[in-house]
Amino acid sequence: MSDPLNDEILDLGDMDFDAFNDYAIAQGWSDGMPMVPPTEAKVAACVATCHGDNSPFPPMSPRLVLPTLDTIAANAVMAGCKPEYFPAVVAAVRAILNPDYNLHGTLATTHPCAPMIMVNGPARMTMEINCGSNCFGQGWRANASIGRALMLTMMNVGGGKPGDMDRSTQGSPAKYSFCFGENEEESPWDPYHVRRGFKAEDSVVTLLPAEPPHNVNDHGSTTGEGLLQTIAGSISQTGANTIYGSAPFVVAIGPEHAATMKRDGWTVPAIQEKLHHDSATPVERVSKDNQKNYEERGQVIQNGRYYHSRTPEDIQIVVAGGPGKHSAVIPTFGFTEACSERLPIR
Amino acid sequence: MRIVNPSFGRQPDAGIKSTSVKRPTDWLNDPVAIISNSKPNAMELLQGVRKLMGEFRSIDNVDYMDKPSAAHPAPPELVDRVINNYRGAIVALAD
Repeated sequence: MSDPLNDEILDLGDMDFDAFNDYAIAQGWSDGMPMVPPTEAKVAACVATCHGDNSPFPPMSPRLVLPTLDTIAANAVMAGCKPEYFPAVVAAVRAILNPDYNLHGTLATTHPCAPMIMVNGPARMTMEINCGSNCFGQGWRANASIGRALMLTMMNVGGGKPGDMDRSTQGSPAKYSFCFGENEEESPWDPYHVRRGFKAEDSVVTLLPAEPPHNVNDHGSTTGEGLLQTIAGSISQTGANTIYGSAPFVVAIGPEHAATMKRDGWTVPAIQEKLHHDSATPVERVSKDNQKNYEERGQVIQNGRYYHSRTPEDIQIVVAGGPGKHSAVIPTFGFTEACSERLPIR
Repeated sequence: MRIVNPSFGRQPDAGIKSTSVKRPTDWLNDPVAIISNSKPNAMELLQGVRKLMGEFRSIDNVDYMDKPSAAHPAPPELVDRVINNYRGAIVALAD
């Protein structure tokens, strides 16, 4: 006899909101917070926003089943997405299914990484994605529900259940939702997606398996040089995964810090070049046991330092947030690449 | 209430071979792969396991192998090698 839970449509009989949530928790579908029942009508409304997007999805690790637009939409509805957010969710799913993202590794690891979604382009405005004050925090439905929809899809379709196939030792708050937009309007440089070769009018999501943002407080430095010294020091932590798995990570510069850097003539490539070298961790700050461990893993020491980035271009420079003298470093799992996808909207 | 099942996924239908197990693994005699996930100390742990196995069986056909990287899935060649040459596998999964 087939398991009814393998059916695409489930008839749950006479259930109200509370009963549905009790049922969903029993099935292991929940992240712990209440969810909206994914009725056929609500799912259809989401899927309609991606009409014409017929590219098949590859298998999703670790369960290795093929997602469908309907099942991704079911998770988006449960997460609280409006239908118009759904193209961002679909693009995010495609990005984590890019082999370069290393989805299986990011789930099986004990590291607490979560999929960071950064949105560029006009969709930030139409979806009302927060790019300014408190952009990594609470209060915005799009930020909260798009990131949550991706996590629920990874849990329910991919099978990355916490404590089971999601082996994170401690997890992180970012595993509930981690979605923000670049503050392109206050950036003194070209938008991130344009620097990656997309058109300014494209809407693009970029995904990385990331830790939550690490704040960089610098109220004292009045030059770009000083600010970058502080940011480099914040990257250079001895407990970062990238110390033995050099890879892309994000530096999200607050608009006020960015304006100071721009005033002092700093371009994005120059910032990347400086941070690449100055953030490398001196060998003497690393324990002897870890030095031996990194040596066995083939991590190369250059100039007496461990480099967190393979090249300057590994450092993803974006502008995010609102007024204030803060920036953020967003470390990653390592062993990954920044994966960008254009949204399937007209 | 009718809902769309949020855990539904289609099964890939290409390249999946169904294999039936002809007999249970004989852990006292069959060839066994012991696989390191390449985390620190994994090989030391597995060397201890192999030594203990040597107290009750021949370990001539108990072989070490490891993933190239702890951060990536085992490559298909490694999985095929284990499937084709061994009747059992012991895998170090943790740190």
